[in-house]
This record gives sequence, structure tokens and C-alpha cells, in this order.
Amino acid sequence: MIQIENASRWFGQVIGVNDVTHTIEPGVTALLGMNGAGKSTLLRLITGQIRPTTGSIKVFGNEPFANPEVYKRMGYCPEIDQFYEHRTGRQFVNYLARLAGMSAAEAKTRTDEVLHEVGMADRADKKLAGYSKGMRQRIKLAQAILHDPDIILLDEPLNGLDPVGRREFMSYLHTLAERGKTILVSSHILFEVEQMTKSIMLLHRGRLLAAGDVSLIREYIDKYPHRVRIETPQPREVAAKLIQLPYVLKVEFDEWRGGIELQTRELNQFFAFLPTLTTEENFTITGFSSPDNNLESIFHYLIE
Amino acid sequence: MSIAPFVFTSTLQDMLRPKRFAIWVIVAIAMVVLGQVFLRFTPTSTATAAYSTLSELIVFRILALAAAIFATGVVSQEVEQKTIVYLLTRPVPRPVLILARTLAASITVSIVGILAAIGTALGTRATFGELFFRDCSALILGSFAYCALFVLVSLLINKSMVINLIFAFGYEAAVPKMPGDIYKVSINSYLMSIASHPKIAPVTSDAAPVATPAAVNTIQPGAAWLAMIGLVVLCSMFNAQWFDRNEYVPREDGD
Repeated sequence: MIQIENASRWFGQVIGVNDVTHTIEPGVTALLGMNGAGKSTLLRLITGQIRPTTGSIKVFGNEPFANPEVYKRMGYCPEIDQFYEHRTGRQFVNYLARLAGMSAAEAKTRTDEVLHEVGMADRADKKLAGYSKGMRQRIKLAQAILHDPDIILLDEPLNGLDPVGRREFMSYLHTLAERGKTILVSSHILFEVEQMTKSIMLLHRGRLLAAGDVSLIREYIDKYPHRVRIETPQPREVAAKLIQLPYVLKVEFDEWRGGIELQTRELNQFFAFLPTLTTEENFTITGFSSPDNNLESIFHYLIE
Repeated sequence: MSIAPFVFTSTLQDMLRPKRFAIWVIVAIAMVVLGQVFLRFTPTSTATAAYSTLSELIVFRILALAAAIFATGVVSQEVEQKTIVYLLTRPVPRPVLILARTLAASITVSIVGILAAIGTALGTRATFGELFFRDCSALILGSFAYCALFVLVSLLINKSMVINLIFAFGYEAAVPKMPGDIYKVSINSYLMSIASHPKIAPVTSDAAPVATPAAVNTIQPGAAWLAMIGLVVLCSMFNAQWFDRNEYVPREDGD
């Protein structure tokens, strides 16, 4: 769908995207990075608003820059919050539907459908100038999906949405992904991304630090042992048993919350052993978790 | 079905929407008042002479001003307001986008110019005869020429409005009055040739001249038509090519 090969983009002396190579397949992929990491630049490269300085970007096998054939099958929700403020939400979406090549009748029908899908059907006849941030986000999403594109690129789409809106939005993203769409969502809020997808692209200072499934990426980070938290009413006994295991590096008591926290380099081996604590050693284990097997930890480990 | 008619009509509708266009109607009304004031303060002037004077001095300046404003709206304003992204990520070929939008701007500016000319004619009580219709043809051609040129400037330079306004009010007002043949590099000189206003006798004075007198406009109307059409075609071809090959991305603070 989207093939990025050694793509770099310079803005004078500043590098926006640095030698990125990756292929984005159908499903939801999150484009992660701090502000200034190069997320928007990469999205602009994919949407053909700018060209790579070196390397190449192909969408459906074509170069996207100023390519109407690509735009027929691509929807883009930009981060910018600017609109034609004098138009209503319905007029704005309808205008872009016509620009997408629909007839007046098709555009009207599709505009009504898509406004309903994003929950704006009852508020679409107000002027855009009076819209809240959340309403603007919904209208931007509506214009991105109105021509039923195969690829949807969303730049910070959750900004300004209330919790209900975010939940609806994420649910809608999954619906689109189930329909075989390729969705690339940029965000710097890890908690949100984690709820959207496990497939990520992590950008830092223009470079692609990691790409793929969050859990697999964590597996590759050898520098930091995995942390596992175990809830038990017998912390000392359990700790004494676990510290004897060759792949357990360290065990600490969590005096404030109770339980223990250990570090291991062999997470799978440890989890394979864990049931024996209860079945063979008769310890009581009330819960366990892996506090650093999440996006935030991976993000921090990778950018350190 | 080609998308060009929709791009053209939607842009025209936007440029002619009441809130945006009302100011130009007010300008046309102001020309009616100005024409009457002019006649009152120059009682010896004929209606034709008064119309010609105001048309040359003001209506053709209004045309250049309107062209600077509406031509900036074709691309430059969309970039500055960051709405260009919605246009450039649609399946509309960029040459179609810019040519259709420039055409809409040119027609809007033509309407502005003709309204101002009508206001002037009403104010000076001039007849809507041959002179008026020659003016209208010059105004229409002038709107296409100015728009094509100003769109070109806006494609090449950020914040092009200032440059276009300086051109419209400084260059175009001053160059036709300069001695020698330099007047031939002003659009206004060609438009004046097409308009062919009757010559108004200058005020005589016994004082010695302090500057070289302005050159007489020797451009023939036929040549003026050809030159202006050539300018429009060349600028439009350049604009289409340039816009198709270059990046127009709004600046953003974050990334």
C-alpha cells in the first residue's frame, strides 16, 4: 500500500525526515513521536504535498506528489485547525465531495451519510467559525473518509475530542480497519495509541527508531530487563523462591502497595514458570502485570 | 465529467459572496458620488472629459487593486490560511485548479471594473456609448492580464499582496507617465491604448518645464490587444506548470 524507501526530507539546514524505510500494510498503524519528531512531515510526504529530498515514497505503486490518481484512493485529515470559516460543516464537506469528483446528487447523499457516521448530522448546518475543537475534528474526519478511500491518514485526530468522542472515534477506526482500509494515525499521546493499535512506527528527530508490533519491539530491547509485578500475600517467600531462578536479575518489595517487583531478561521463560508457583509451591498469587511492557516504556527506552 | 467547471463556479461563488463583494459595490457607488463632485468643481468640463479623466485616474487603478486582492486569493491566501491542504489532496489536477480559479478571479475583477465604470458614467452623466464599451473591453482584458500576472507573483513570492499592491499603485501609476519608451512595459499603457480616451488639453503655464514631458502613447489598439492576450497566455501557461511542479505547504509550528 505505502512503501517508503530511504526517504529523507530537508528544509534548508533542518532535517524533517531522515532515511526512513518502511512498508505500511492494511490495518491501523500508529505514527508515534514527540512534537518535532517528523510525523507531520512524513504524512505530508505520503500525501504528496511535498517531495522527498532523497529516497522514494510510493502509494499504490505511484509517486504521490500532485497525483490525482493517488488522491482518488486516499483520505487525509490534517492537523491544522483551519477551515473556510464562513461555510457550514455540511457545505464544507459537500464542497470537498464535489472536488473529489462526485456529482451534485452523489455529493449530497454521501455528505449526509458521512456526517451521520461522525456524529455531526444534527450540528452540520452551523457555520464552521462557531464549532468547538471536537466538532472541527469530526468534520475533518468526515472530509477524509467521504470518498471511501483505501488509505486514510490522520494527523493527531484525537486532539480536542472529549472522552466519549475518543471512544467513538477509536471504535470507528477499528470498523474501518476491519473493512480492509490502511489507516495511519499520528499521535504523541501514547495512552491513546495503545488503545488503537499494537502496530507502531516510532519517529524521533526524523529517524524511524522502531516499527512493528509493540510487544515484539519490546522483546528486542535487551538493554532494559523486563519488569514484572506480582501480587501476593506471601511476598518474602515468593521472592526467596524467584531469586533462585537464573533468569531473574533482581527482586524488590513494594512496601507501599504490597507484592513484589522483579526484573528478568527472559520474560517468556519466566511466564512459563509462573504457574508452578501456585501448582507446585502452593503460593497464593492474586495478580501479576508487566508494567514496562507498554508503549510508554518502549518509547522512553528507545529515545534514551 | 471534468472537474474544472465546478472549481470555476465554486470559486466564483466564493469571490462574489455578498460579505466579500459588498465593498466593491460600495466603491462603485462612491464613483457615482465622485463623478458628481468632479462635475461640480470643474464646471467647464464635459461629461465625456470628466468620465475619461476619472476612468483613467481611478477606475483603472481600482481594477489593479481588485486584481491584486482577488489574484492573491487564488493560491497565496489559501496557503496563508492553511486551507490549501484541502485543495491539494483532492483528485483535481493542479493546472486545472489554478487555471479555473484564476479565471474566476479574472471574471470577478472584470465585474468590479465594469461596476466602477458604470458608477463613473452615472456620476459624470456620460453616455453609455462607444467610449464606455471600449473601456469595458479594456477593463475585461486588463482584469485577465493583471490577474494572470499577480497569480504568477503569488506563486513565486510569499506575502505577494504587498508586491502586487506596490505594482498596482506605484509602478502602474508612475511608469506610463515617464518619458521615453519605458511606458511600454506597463499594462496600463496597453489598456489606455485599447480604451482610446479622447485627449484632454493640458493646463498651460508660463513657467519653464521642470521635468521631461511624458511620452505620447503610440501603442496601436490592435497591438495592445495582441500584447495583452500574449501576456495572459504566457503567464497562465507558466502558472499552470509552476503550480504543478512546486510545493505549496502552509507553515506549521509543530510537527
